[in-house]
Amino acid sequence: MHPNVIRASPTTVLSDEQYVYGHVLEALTGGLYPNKLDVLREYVQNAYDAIREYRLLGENPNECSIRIYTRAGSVLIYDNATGMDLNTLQEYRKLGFSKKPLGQYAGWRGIGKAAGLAVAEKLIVTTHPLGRQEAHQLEFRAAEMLKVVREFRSKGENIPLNQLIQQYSNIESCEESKKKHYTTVELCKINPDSKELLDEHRLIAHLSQISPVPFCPDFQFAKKITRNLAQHIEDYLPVKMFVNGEQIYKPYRNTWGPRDDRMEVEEPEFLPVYDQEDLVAYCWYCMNAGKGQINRPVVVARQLVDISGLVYRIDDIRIGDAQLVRRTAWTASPERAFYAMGEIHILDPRIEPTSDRNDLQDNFARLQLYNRCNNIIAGEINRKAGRHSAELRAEEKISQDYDIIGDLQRRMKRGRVQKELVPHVIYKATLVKEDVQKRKRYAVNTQTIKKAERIVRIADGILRKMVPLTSPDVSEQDLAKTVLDFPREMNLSNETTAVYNSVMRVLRDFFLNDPDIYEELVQRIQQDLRRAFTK
Amino acid sequence: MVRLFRPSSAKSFVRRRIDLPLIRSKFLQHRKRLRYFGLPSEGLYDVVDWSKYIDTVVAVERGDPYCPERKQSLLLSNAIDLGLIDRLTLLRGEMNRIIMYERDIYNQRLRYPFELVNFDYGGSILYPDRMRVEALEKFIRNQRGANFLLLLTLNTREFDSEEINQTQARILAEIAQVAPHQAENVERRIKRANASPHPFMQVVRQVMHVLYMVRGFAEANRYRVWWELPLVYRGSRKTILVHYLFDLHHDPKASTKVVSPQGVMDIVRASVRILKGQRIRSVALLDSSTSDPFIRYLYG
Repeated sequence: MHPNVIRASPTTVLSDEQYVYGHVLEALTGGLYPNKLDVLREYVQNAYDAIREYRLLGENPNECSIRIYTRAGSVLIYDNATGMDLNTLQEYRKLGFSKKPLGQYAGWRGIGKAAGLAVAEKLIVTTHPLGRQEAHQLEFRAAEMLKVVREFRSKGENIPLNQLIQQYSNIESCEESKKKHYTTVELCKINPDSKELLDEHRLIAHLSQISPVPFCPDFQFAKKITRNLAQHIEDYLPVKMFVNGEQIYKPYRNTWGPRDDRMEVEEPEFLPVYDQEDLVAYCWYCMNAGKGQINRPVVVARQLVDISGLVYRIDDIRIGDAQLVRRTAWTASPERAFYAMGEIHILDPRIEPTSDRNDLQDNFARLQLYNRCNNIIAGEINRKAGRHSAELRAEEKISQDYDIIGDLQRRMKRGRVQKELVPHVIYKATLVKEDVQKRKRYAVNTQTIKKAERIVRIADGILRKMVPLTSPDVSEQDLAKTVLDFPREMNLSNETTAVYNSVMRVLRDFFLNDPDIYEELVQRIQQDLRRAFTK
Repeated sequence: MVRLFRPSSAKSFVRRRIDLPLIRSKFLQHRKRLRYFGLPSEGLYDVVDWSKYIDTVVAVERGDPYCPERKQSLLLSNAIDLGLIDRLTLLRGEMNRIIMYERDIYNQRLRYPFELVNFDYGGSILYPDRMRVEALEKFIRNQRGANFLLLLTLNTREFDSEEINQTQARILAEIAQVAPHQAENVERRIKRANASPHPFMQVVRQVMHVLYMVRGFAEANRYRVWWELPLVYRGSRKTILVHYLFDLHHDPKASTKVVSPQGVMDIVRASVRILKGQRIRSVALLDSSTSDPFIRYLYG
């Protein structure tokens, strides 16, 4: 033993000595949940664990559901899974106490159950254990308890947590029908500063994103993704969840938005992430079928929900948001994290979420996961996004080039190419040809490929006609056949022609880097002069 | 845990064999499910038994004084478990106050009307503050013309004997007007009942009072009231309960107090039904013999 370490002798510890005091309660309740809606997640998580336990007992978990109701100032969270026997309910009063083994349940710290103390006047847990002829009810008088803590704090005094919980909570039991098995947590009289918990629409929108619920039946790829997740994730179990009677689903869709500007995603892709032979994460994602990022939110219960990007999930409960994945898995081109939507289900038991479930706890396993996500998931999505962008750009640019080359061709056929603009036309045709040749390999649409080939043919034709005209040996006659010679057309005198040519030269040199402006100016000057000379 | 309300087998019998057929016929008459208002207790036993004929449920639960929310929470939990929650509105607080102020302690409004009303008070109707009577009167008034079934369950403890005596005097005065030749005879029989020390006489006194009172409130609000014979049974913890069933029909065209088919003479001539196990026997209200085995069973 290190000489500086003093080991306390058991004899020096008094049996009634207190080690935890009331202020901890504030830290474990309000302090952990700046977003009040996250309080519900804790109870949803407990209900979910009860349903998984129900399955472990050999019962059919599909019989179970989680139901949330908002009723005149209160929120009720109900599940008809295993319920709790008296011992388990007594453990509910013990903060930081949990018998749930790490990695097998969504919650295991034993503090989430106290989350409701910060938002409601009372917390009442009513439970009927499965197969037992008994019922139990636990009451936490939260408001009174926190009031006492604050009073003590204002006086600079402390109250032991034990005493506080004993004084302001109690359990009562009775006999009940053996057929019943459920647990209800009622957050009684929600505090005015937590009113969002009573907003049904916000609850639905929030829970649809974070909870282990099924995919929406409207999502065309729901079955495929669910099947894949069930194959790769051992205890994957989406549960039926209702808010005020309305079933909620994950917010993913394959198409959404207004008819004239719809967002659409492609077929899902699946990426397993291995650590040697162990599957440590399993990802599904759908790329945006359109251009760029998924930038339109979906509407869930009248609320806008952003589904772009990927999210981490542990036990199918969301950890953080898409920004967390962008921050941790994308080192290059982070904007491409939002070219897709999807989930990364973390299966490595060494990776744990933080208490507020907004991040993962810092350890070596997390670092490894981030690196693997970066190499496998972000790498793949970036490649796809890059390729996808190139494809889309190819379609778009070839289409634009087709218009430009078509315009040049029409002007040439009509003999409306000005002599001054011949170098410009050559430049344009060359540029278009090179651009099309470069993008043609990304084009996937056969029509686009045909269009590209046609552009090259037209550009070659233009160049064949125009390039010889730039030779000093070209005769005036040849020139007159192909292009428009303005001074000759207007019968300008030699002096005027000299002035005209001089002006054109200056302009050409001045706008050397901006040939389009030069072209515009030439046309406007000629138009104006034509009008003046005709008068 | 909260002291749970456990219905006795007699209560279940009353709900299923006495009330249910009447509710069914009301449902057939009404041609749609009935809106329920009442005191179903945390077990929601009556709502479960009648759920086929019930549409929405407005339940009032006061809870235990030391922690009202416990029973209320249990009621809501059971409602979720039984699949009734979507139809249920829980009003928290004391029934009489909710009726008088038309709001519960959470400021939720009591929205009328209802077609099925179950005031399973368990306690008495008459207390010195008369709050329950006033609430009942206001409730009938606020029903504003809806026809409805009113079920009342009361125990026979007397907290205001003087008012019951006054009611008897009013009954006698009315009989003196409508059937003067009967008045003396009825008075003699009432006096004999009042003088009897047998506890069944509390049933007699209460039945006369309640039938007369409800008839009065209903008629004053243009309701014709038709009552079934009250049913007396033993509740849990040896209480004697009287179950009343009133069918109230509104007469919207009446500009004055209406007259019910059952008059004051029907009240004094009424019988009560006594439930013993699953058997029922009717006994005359004023001329019953206290040695009747069914009456003896009640107080056995």
